[in-house]
Amino acid sequence: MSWEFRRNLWIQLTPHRLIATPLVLGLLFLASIQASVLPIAPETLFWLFAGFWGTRRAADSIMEEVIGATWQSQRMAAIGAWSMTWGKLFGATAFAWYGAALSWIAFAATIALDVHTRPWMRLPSPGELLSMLVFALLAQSVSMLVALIQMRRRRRGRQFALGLAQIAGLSTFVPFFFVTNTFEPIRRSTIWWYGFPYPTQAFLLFAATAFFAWALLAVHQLMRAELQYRDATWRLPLFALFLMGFITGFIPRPYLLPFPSAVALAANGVAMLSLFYVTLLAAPGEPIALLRWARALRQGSWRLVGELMPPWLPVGVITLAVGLMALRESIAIDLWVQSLGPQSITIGRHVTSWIAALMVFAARDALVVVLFAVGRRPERADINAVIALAILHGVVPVVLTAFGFAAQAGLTAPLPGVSSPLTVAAAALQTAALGLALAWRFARLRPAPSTAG
Amino acid sequence: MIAVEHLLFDYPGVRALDDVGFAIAKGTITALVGPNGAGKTTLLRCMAALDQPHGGRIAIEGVDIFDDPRRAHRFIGYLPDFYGLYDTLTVRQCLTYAAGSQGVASGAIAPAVDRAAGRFGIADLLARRAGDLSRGQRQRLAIAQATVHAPRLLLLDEPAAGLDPQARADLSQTLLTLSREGVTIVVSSHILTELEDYCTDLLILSRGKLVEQRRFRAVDGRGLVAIQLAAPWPGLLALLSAQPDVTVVSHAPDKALCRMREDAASLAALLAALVAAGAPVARFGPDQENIQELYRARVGGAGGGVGVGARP
Repeated sequence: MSWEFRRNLWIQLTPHRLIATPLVLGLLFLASIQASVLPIAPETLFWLFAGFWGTRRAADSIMEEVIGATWQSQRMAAIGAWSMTWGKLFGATAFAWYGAALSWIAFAATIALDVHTRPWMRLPSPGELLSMLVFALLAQSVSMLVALIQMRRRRRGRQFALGLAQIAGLSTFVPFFFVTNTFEPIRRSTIWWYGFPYPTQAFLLFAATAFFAWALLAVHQLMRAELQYRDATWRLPLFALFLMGFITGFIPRPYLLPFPSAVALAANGVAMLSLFYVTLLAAPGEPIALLRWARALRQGSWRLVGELMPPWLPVGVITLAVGLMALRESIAIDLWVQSLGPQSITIGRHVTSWIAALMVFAARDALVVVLFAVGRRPERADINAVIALAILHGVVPVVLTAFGFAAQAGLTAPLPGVSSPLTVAAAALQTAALGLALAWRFARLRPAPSTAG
Repeated sequence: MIAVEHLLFDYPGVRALDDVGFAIAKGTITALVGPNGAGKTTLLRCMAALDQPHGGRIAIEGVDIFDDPRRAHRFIGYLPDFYGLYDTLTVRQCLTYAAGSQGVASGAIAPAVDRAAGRFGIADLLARRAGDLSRGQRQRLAIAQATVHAPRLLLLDEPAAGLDPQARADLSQTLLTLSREGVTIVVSSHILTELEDYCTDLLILSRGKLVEQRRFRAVDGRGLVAIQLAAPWPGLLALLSAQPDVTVVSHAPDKALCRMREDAASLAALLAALVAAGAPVARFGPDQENIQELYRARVGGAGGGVGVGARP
């Protein structure tokens, strides 16, 4: 048994808790039987224990080590990355699972006793039960992943970090409710994927399982980095490719001739761009690591280049590839639109310029984030970068439009409809200026020998 | 045992370790001293393979710790300056987890826990929760956790902070015992007088540079003892030469410098022999440089200068 799992069990499943929890839950159900009303749906109880409390515990399994100053000892432990991952994921949530299981036992007993029945009161089918388990695991692992990311960013506010991790985890739990009997029509509906129909419940279970596996792989990858394994980043680009394959399955191809890949490229472009921004903001703000990576690149130390590579870079390359394919498709569509008549030309050019602007502005935004990461407060780089990007993408265009400069609103953000070659040129200028600022900042980061320590 | 070569470590805009290099012999106790911000904690974290430096190399028993940090962790024990304990676990559970997580074999965990608890005086606290311990008891538990897997290299960052005088004396004795068992120890501390009691070697860091490396006493407990007489006494050399386990390093009619064991019994025996023979002893004791004076000379002025003055 993993020592991390064992330690978590010691903390989570104390004799006190093991005895008190069934007593409290038993009393609750006895009271509900007495009142001939079951106050809470079983899915909600499960959500409260395995979902709400489970995601909190999963995130806290990381944060409490940092706050409690025990993480350095764990980093030096002989426990392997997998053992540490599952030891924390299943150990820290052991009490949440215990509570969830007890709730279901009490609920099953209520039905078996046939004390009072309601139309919605039934035991879950094996499929539903499995879905609940997998969605809860997905939510917990995503919560743990976000906590790990924040820990690597040296975020200090525990409650903020926990809240963010929990929100991220619980958001993945939402689809589960669509397969419960509360949403009977959706549960009985069909999802078409790569031209084949699948029952929604079965498809969501498949999707949740796949994404749980990816979340676990991501946690494991970050855990390996923390535990000093020396690895290159390869799982994130693979996940990007998986995500594109998953999304492409939903595109109904036969209806989109003569450009069958246009919608798939658009959907995948949006997905990759989103993933690029997420990884950009989630990357640890370690300016010295960036300097070391740049030096390894110059020296051709490829092992170190792979180990220190910012995680957003390979995703950026994939995003660029998708963007270039979309640009080629857009030009083809543009030529096709031109052939229809002169009145349609403007629309086509806007789309092409917009795609180009999206790519160049993404490069600019990457430099904005890196510039904050190498700034004075790298631990706040993501928050400061989000504020800066919100100003560039939201405030400036709104103000320009409000003052009657609607045509110039796209100078700081890739806005559909107003993008033009001028927008792309503006984005390129901003990118170049930021590149120069970054080079200047990097030069200041390199300390002169024998400076004060 | 430990070879540190050309170590460079940067924080944004600040060079925390600047071309630091030294060697530490097996079984020694090395005091790592320097003003706040000198780079002591950074150096210890690098030696614990927790932080990777910008440049340079650290080899412990021939293993490059940055090539294989996880292997290096198997024989390193590290107590950081800000450490944490699992407050809801008992002392026994804390030690058991520390041993198990450090790879101690299942059958050897219970004896390792008992040995560590006994060594650091917390054997009677094994059933207590860590959160209920006093500051000094917590410190002892933390050191016991760092040593429960019998590391060959022990890195301690301010281990005496929070300990009362008796506990500090006990810690000194425990470190000497560990050293005699072959454990190599590096201790960072601001309490210079206590370091003199048990350290064999000294490293002084200032502004990220190593400004002094010096040996104070031999690993086997043999050190230099100075004898100063009130007046010349012709029988001094003959008497000293006749003593077992005493080597005369230098002598004059009214003084001598010997290499011998520095424990109280050996010192008392030699002094008694001198007095019994009629030697007019004026001063007698270990000829040891004072760490505080050396520290002030190297660091106390305008930064203490740069350059390593190694004297093994």
